[in-house]
Amino acid sequence: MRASMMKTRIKELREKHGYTQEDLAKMVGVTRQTILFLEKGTYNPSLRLAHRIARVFGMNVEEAFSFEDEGD
Amino acid sequence: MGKNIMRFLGFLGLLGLLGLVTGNTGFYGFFGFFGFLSIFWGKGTDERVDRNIGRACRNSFVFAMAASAAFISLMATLEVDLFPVAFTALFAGGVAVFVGSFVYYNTRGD
Repeated sequence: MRASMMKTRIKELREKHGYTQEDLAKMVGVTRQTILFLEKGTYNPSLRLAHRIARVFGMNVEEAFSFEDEGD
Repeated sequence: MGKNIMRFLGFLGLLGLLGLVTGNTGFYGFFGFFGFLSIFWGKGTDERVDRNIGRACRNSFVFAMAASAAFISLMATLEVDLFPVAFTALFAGGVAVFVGSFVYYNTRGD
């Protein structure tokens, strides 16, 4: 059973703030590939990482991420 | 972002030099481990990479347990010495399962 995937606004928020994927990756302490997977919605971040990303954009985790239940 | 401890596996490549000393060309396969040294110049690891390494290690462990049980059963049943074949299969198979699993999880995502 695959995990329920998160929907994110990371790409939209990143472009709005003028950051590249590499910039954002350095700010939150992950690789650029992880940011890429987050934007594609194929990686669920830990709560700590989600919080770090939300803090970069000055918002709550719930505003930057939401869960999308895919069912069984 | 932490440094990936697996970079130290690259030093196992030095075992390939035993091929020069003993004349056994089978040792040259160890030079492949030098590829892990590239991690020293990499960008480091993060939670996603660590998670995928963990998954790949799990699969490799399961393979090692299953293959070990199979070889032990074969050797006990057939009363043949399969230790060299078993060791090679476990080593090469374990590495292959790890690498294949890591590439798969890294590509697939969650």
